[in-house]
Amino acid sequence: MSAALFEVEDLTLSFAGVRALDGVDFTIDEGELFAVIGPNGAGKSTLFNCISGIYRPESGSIKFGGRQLLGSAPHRIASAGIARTFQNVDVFPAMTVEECLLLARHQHLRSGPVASMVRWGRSAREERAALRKVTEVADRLGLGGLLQSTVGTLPHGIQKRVELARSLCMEPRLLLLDEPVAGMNHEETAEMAATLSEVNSDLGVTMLLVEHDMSMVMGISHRVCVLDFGRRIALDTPANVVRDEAVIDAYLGGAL
Amino acid sequence: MSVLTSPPAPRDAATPAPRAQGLLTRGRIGVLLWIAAMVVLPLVLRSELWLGIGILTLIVGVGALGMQVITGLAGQISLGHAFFMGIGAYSSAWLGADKGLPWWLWLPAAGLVAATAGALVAPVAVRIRGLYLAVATLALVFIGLYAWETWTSLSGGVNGRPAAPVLFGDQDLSLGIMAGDQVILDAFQAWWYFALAILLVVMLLTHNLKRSRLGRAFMAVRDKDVAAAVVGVPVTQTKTVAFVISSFFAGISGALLVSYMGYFTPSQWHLMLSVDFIAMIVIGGMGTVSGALLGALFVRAMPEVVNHASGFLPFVRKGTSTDGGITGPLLSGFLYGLVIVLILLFEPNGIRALLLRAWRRLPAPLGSSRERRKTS
Ligand SMILES: Nc1ncnc2c1ncn2[C@@H]1O[C@H](COP(=O)(O)OP(=O)(O)O)[C@@H](O)[C@H]1O
Ligand SMILES: [Mg+2]
Repeated sequence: MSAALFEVEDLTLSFAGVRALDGVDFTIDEGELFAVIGPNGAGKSTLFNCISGIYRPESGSIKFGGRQLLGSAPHRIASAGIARTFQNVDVFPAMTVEECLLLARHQHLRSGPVASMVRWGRSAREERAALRKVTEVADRLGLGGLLQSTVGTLPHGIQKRVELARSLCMEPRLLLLDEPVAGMNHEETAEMAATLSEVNSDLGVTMLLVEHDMSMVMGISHRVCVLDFGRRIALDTPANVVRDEAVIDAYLGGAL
Repeated sequence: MSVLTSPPAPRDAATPAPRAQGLLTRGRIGVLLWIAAMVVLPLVLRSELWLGIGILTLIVGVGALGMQVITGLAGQISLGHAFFMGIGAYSSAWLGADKGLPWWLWLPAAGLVAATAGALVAPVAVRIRGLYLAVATLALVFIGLYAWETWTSLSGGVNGRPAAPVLFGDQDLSLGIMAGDQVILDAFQAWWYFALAILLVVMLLTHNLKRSRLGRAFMAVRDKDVAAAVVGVPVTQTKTVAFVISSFFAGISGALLVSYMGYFTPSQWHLMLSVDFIAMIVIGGMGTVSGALLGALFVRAMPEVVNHASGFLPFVRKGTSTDGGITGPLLSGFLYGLVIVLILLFEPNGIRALLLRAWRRLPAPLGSSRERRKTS
């Protein structure tokens, strides 16, 4: 196996005595669709917040393409090529879908204050190119007709799609998805699962997918890491994970 | 591929998005009508009082756009606007009146000096938020007041000082523009057009800014700073830029204001001036170009309308009075507060939103699409 794209080592973080993450380790290869599952409160969202620089872990290391990410500001981590979605959709309700997606092109655009105000030559061309890119991503995700809609007025399922489109507009090398089907019905869940697996295979985006719901993950991920009370209790292919004693005890057992 | 396009997509994915762009959209017609009205108005309006108020509105409109950038777009509540306007005013007076530079140098320079002051304050200002930021920027106003009053060689102390004149060749704008013996524009008309030209430039810059990479970053930081950072927007740097641009416009506005008045004192850069600018964008409509202008018009014109009307209203005296009773200024102060409360309660998007609704009810003019009305 070649050097991993993304490496998490011994990640630990506590909140007021609660160990949200307890020595978590894993690596993700380029192109992989890697899932992290676990019951509510297992530390999945906390893991994401550590990766994207919102929380600072007490110890451990997070490396992306060999570079240490710990201590970097969230916008630098984003520029390094990591995009994410939030468990509770975190879109900008007052913006139109188009503005929201163009916003995600921020780090790919160069216009400074003067160019932004004058909008001439290169800065105008840059905006047009960004608009083309954004339209392409929106079309791909079936949002093409909604570019002028205000995000806040759209239904939850569509907002989740907008958030996914926004992170794809960043052209990330690694995409973190925190419960992308939470609050969705059966049909929407199936659509989203198919979309994610297509984004992974067609666009070659490496994905770290967090899910509460095990069944959705099993069909599409290459490997699964199971967290329980902040600790990694299993890391294997989906087929092996469902047969793992510890997983059945700690997670499936509780759910059944 | 089927799944990717399966959610409701009202239009065929192959056709480009229907951008609502005829040559004449309602928005453009509105802007053209407004410009036409602004060009004609000083030719037909014969009241010097109202011409003066119009010119002041155009000038403070520039400052209101600056307020719109920092508070309306970037969401940072700053009470420091009077301070930055004062900096613009004193820089312009020093460069234009004391050093004799032409207006096309002192005017941009006033903006640049104010922008520099904004950049110096920003490292502290961008790290505090909400009410704390308001209080910190409030402190700036008082530091400024102290500085202007103490630095008498620059400010003339409490007696004030003359401002920089606007000269075209050997003609002073405040005396009107002549060709030989022929008066082409009287002083009011000349100042009106000059202020209008500057305002139009600043309006265009603000309009572009809103739709740019930076404008989107401002709005993202205003609405959700964590999500903004996660999509790659450097939050503190973005706020800093908003401060600098806002201060630049404030500086220009301050310089124009004193140049029009001809003479100015330190006391005019008081907190009340900052509050006026906040009121302008709240009343007019947050985050928009037209909102800033409507707010500027309201705040500038309302006291005069009330004072005028008070001549006809029973129980209301014109002008100030020391023996109690309702006076014009008292009534206008009261109305001012009332309008802000009403706006906040019933139309948080300001007068602009009220007018826009009325405008949409009008029958569609040539070339503009009716689809808009269905979606609104
Ligand atoms: N900001 C926070 N402050 C205090 N406790 C937190 C915070 N974030 C997460 N936690 C705690 O950390 C644990 C893991 O939470 P989380 O990562 O959200 O779980 P998951 O996403 O797996 O459901 C929970 O016990 C939660 O209460
Ligand atoms: Mg979670």
